[in-house]
Amino acid sequence: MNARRSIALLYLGFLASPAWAETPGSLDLKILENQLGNLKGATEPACSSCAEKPDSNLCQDLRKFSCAPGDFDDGTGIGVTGNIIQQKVADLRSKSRNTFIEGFSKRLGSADESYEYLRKLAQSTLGLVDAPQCKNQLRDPACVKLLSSGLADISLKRVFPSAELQMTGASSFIFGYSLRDIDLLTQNSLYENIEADLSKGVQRAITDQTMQKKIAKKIFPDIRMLIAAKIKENVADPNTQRQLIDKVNGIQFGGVDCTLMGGYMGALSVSINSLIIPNAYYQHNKNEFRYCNGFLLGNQSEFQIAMVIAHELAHSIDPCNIAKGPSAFRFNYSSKEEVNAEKEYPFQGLLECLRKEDSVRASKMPVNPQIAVEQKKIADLKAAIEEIKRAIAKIEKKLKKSSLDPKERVVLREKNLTLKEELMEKKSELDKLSGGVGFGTSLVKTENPLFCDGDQIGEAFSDWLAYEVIPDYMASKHPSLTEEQFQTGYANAFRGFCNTMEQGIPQVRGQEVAFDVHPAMEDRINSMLLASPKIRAQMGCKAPSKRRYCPALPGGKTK
Amino acid sequence: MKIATNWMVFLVFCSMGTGVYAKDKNLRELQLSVTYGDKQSKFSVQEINGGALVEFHSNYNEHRKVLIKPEDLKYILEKAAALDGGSDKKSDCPREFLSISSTGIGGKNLKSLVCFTGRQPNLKTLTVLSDLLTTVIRLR
Repeated sequence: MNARRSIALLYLGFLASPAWAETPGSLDLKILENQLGNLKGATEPACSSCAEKPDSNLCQDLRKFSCAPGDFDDGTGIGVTGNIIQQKVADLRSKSRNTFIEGFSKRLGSADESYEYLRKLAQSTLGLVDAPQCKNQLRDPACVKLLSSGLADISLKRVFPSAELQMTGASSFIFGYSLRDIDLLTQNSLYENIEADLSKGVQRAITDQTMQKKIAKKIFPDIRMLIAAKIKENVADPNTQRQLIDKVNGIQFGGVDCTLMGGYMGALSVSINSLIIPNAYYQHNKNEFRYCNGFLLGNQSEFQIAMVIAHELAHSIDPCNIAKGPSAFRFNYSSKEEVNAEKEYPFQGLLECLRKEDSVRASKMPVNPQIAVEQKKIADLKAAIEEIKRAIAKIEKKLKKSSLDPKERVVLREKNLTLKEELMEKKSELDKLSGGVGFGTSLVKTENPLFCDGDQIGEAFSDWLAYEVIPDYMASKHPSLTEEQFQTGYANAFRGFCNTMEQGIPQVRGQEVAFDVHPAMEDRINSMLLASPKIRAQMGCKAPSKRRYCPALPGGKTK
Repeated sequence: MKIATNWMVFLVFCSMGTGVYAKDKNLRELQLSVTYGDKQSKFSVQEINGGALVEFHSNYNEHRKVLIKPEDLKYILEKAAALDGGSDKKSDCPREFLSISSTGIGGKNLKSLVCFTGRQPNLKTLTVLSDLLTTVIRLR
């Protein structure tokens, strides 16, 4: 309780800090340049004083610290490693039980006859058909109590995720209800309305409205402006520069509620999962990003908030999404080959640099040899089918001619029949190879827009752009942070990811090869973030990084 | 009665927690994955002795196995039978899609991928399936 109170107090102190008192989107780039003056020479730091004060080990390995347990205040907010989200959710769940029981009880105890069917549905689903309490009338208080309590338990499980889910190697449990009954119950309109009301109350209680406003009015506009400035600085072609800036300036903040996406664990609209799972995303068709509430429950550090927002905004112009948008106003790669297309990307030389072994080594999904062989067979079969179709068409054209010699007509008819049989065989072979309907158009990559699938380059670029703008943002918004606070802050930017991003899903038989489009956490932090001279300077690291920095140079060139 | 006996034997066997069971290639199987931003979850339904093992994994360190009875599997398969072959391109929604692969359901093998933001008729069926499987995992 004390820990929670102190977090709340520190959080309130943070809200009252003068940095936040600025007007929305007030970050002035000229002021920023002045404030960054001491960082200008940071690309090649002098090391004359290294002997006096050796670099912190964090200058070489920040990842380990970002995974360390505890609460870490970096001067902009607190980043927490551990199960704080689960604790908050468990508290709210236990507080909500009575509200849920009352919510159901009020309706089920109602004299309104329209609730009789719901009472019967509940009675059947919960196995209370022969319960003595419900023998006379389902509206008897004792029966209503049982029904309400049972429905509240079902509803609580649908609204709140189970803490027990977060176990690995869990053994099997038996589903205790009839799935048909449960489905009928949970689809019933009256049940749905009651549950939706109760869920809304929980959602309101867990949503951080204050931070949502702050992101909308302050952090997001400032980050967006810095990204636009970075594009101006690095993209040489004026038309491309304009297109990219227009796209970034058009991005909207969709809020912290990620329910509309369908929910992370499934598609239960009443579930609060999408409000408690740390997540964020950019959606290209809406040109919108969301910063899901779950991030805010575990981490209030502005380092993380700003970093994640910058990363998501960067996705709008990453090597995949840059080619999406209105046909006349998007970047078009002239080459169909990725190796050549990489050279066309407006941030010249950057993608090649991010793929290097001593940088973040953004890689492509290895080709599954079995899939490659099947793809080849499918392509060959399709070509053969087309050839047979052409031959049939040719023969049928000849057969239509009345002047055709009768003997030749017989030969052609036989040939036509043979070709049609061959066509049927090839088609059936193709169906078998395609594994049924749909396969040929989805999982086999017949047409794959460049850099969009099975390639870490999109995530690597988004990290890179975020690492380019965040030092400027922090220097401007929090000019008096100490080196130690920067060290803690940059670790906080990743705090909480250790339990998620580094956990792969065990491969399920028959599915595609496991491949994470995110580079390894170790590389994202130690190889790329710690290679940024500006970040190193803020953290007080005097020795240059041992890893390759992929610099952004004016005029759209990289070293 | 025989079915009930078999089912009880099966439950006792599986509840021993060994997780080892014989697989028959002809048994019906369904795998549904939900990709949503950085998060990914996968459900698999594997037919065993008429019933099924429903397994859930996510990249948020979650893992759960639930055994369902033959009538519950039948109900899931009835819903899955509504699937047709419609698919979206993964490249249209690399970060938000539902995908399914099934064997032996409705006498056919099927793979389909639909974008949350797309207009595929399969989207509704996959959402219903995802709802059902989520319910199974949560209400076990």
